[in-house]
Amino acid sequence: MFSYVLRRIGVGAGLVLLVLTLIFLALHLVPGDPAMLLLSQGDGASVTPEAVARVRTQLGLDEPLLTQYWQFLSGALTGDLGESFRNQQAVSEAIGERLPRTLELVGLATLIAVVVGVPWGALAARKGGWFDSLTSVLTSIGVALPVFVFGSVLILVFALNLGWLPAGGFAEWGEDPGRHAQVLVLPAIALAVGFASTVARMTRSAVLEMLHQDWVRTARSLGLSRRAVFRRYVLRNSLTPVVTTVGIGVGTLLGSTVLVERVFNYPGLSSLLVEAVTARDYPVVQGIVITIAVLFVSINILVDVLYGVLDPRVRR
Amino acid sequence: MTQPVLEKTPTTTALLEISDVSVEFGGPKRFTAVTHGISFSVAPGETVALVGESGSGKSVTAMAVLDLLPEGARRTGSIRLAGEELVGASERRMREVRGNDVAVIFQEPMTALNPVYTIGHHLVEAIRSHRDVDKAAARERAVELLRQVHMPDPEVKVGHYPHQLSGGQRQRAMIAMAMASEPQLLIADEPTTALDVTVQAEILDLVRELQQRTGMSVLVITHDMGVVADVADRVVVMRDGRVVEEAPAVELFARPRHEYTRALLDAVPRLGSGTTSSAVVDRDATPVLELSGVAIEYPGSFRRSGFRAGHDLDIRVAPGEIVGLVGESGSGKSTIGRLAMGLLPVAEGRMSIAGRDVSAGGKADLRHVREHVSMVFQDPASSLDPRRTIGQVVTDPLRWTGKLTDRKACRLRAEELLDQVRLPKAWVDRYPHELSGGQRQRVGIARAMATNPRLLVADEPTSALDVSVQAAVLDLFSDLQREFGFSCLFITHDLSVVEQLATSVVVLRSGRVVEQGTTARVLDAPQEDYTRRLIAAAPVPDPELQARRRSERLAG
Repeated sequence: MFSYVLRRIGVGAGLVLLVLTLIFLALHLVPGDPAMLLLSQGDGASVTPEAVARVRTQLGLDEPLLTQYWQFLSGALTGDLGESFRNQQAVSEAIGERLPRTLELVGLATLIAVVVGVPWGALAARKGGWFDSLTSVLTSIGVALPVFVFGSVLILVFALNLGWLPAGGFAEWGEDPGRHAQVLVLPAIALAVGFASTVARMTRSAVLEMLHQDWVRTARSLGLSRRAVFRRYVLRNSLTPVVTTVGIGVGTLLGSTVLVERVFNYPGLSSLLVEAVTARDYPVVQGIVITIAVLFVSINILVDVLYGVLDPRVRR
Repeated sequence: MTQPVLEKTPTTTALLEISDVSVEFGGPKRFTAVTHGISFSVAPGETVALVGESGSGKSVTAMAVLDLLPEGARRTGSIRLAGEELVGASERRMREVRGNDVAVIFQEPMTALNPVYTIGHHLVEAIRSHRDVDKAAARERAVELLRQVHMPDPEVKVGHYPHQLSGGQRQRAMIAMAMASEPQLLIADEPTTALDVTVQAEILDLVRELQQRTGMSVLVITHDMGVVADVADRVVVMRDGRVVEEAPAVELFARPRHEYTRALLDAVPRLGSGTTSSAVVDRDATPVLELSGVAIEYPGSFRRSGFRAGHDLDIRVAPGEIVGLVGESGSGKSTIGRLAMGLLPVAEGRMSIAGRDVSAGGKADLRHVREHVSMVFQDPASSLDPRRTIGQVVTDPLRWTGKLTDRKACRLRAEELLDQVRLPKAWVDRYPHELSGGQRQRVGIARAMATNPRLLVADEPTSALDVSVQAAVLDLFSDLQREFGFSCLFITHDLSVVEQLATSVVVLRSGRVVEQGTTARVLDAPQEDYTRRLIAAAPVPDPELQARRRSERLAG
């Protein structure tokens, strides 16, 4: 098991290195001088050669490619991702401020999706009949519903009409914990609906498959109660595919936050990304892409390890 | 069992009494009966075998005792256990009976055990399902139970997962679970079907040993007349959901009364029955397949070396010769089949096919192999494409090799091929799912013969079939061989099939040739200990012979 975990981590580290290299190459292999690209604001105005030279020195673009690559790598590994073009704030600092907010949102949405989706799917598989049909319909809608549409509906109903929860914005935990929590609810639900539907569907089909396994009959032949058989021999085994779904889902969720943070005017990492892209703030964009890549890889390692914990046949 | 068997005819003291039991499956509108008015009984300490081919309703009947039927099925009639009526008993009461008074062991111990739990966990579950024992005590008892079923290193094996054990060890663990509550009745549903013959003999010995110690009754469900002869006191023969004959084992084998029982017994291939291959072999001609000093390796992955599945193999198949490759699982017999098909590379040594050295495995070599060798697979259900008609299926090899591309010509050839395997020509447009297992295997054989191969590799072609169907397919196979004179590498675990069909035998173990020679020589006068053990372990449908062999086995 130990070597299994180590191997996963090793593969993960390799992936991160690959991502870093690709990002570096993307910036350097695109036709045209990055310095020119940075200075021209797309209005066709000519740029003075002195300005270009200054930016080149500033960015270290006059160094040999390998040196640049090395500096980029060592910088990224020590957390030095450069400075923002807009406000000269260190990129790592800007990310450090925004990342926890997005993680909080994604974490809450995942929690809701698992707590609602797994029992729902299990119940649908076990009960069958009208409840199962209803589940099919609801989860289809849930999967198909775009987050920004559902988010807008949530704001309309719960914030504008009923006035139960704020329509958006943000409050620091340290300043106003109550409001901090309130603000999170609607965006988390908006994110969770599609995810919960996917989890419920996966759980349902996994449970249906496990119900017909031979070992379920063996457990019944031992005289275990139906409940014990269901919990320990059906649900327990269904978790393995569900964990994979959840792992992939969390990655997708990171992408969905771009829309949700917009709709709810939530100052998370994704809003920063959108702002930076609009402002051509390349160091920030690059920093966020690296951060998200590392998150993705980490989630996958976690899922692989959990997989090994849940299914002994996987560890080797 | 030393007492006379006849004493144990059903009396009023039967432990299990099944009368007029039918099992019905619920459809959308009404219930359909799959068994009709089954009646038989099991006396205390007795072993009753429920025998029949697939679809006879034997398993369903046995599962009805504990109401372990699939959802939507119901049982009618009367099932009495020690006088207590179980049909209509509450789920609560049924749960008390399950695993306590009556325990079950299943066919495939790989799928019957939950892969995410250790053997110990399974045993603790079985122990604590009916007794209020604390976990530590249950764990100790688990090790004790494993020791009783002769599991090697019980203290270690208790912490292993099912996939870490061999098939025989898994079945021992399964039996240990069943014995946890010292049941009065053990239901064994095809307990040894998935196991090698030598392991099968060990498991059957174990069941008998436990039965003698605890005095439990055993209801064994099987399709194997050899197993019946080995363990049963009394036999109930089922067909199409009905009991056709019930008799003490000795009597049944000596004087089967019902026509179906007689047909069933006749269909069982017997070792030493004297029927041998009639193939005409030309030993002086260039061999169709020649392996000299061949080693086979499964390629490894990054930083992991390959697995060597064959060592120093010297095998010759002369024109017209049928060579039986026998051995237990893991002996490398299928690996050699794949090698001959060109699906695995030659790691060492020389392989030549129809006079051409193909060891290098180049493109032209492989084309040569495909031209002269073809294969019949084990499972006819999964080796035929369900979306293609059987006419297309049988002529596919011709299209692939580009020998025949014209549609009309293909159809004519398909009709001819179906006729050769004695299927109606008109069936060219049917789909595989419309055919029975035996018919599908005929289609498999027709496909293999489409290119007029010099060598046919048949990998356990009949082991998924019922005995009566197997007999017909084997007959067809020898007829075709006589007619077309192809050579054959016949892979099987069943020595009696080899005796009936093969001109010579190669006995394999762990990727090495243990012994080879003409069929008569190897089977009648085996030189190697391993061959002798294999022959002794293969059950024969003769209770007296089985009893003699068992005492020899246990004494030795």
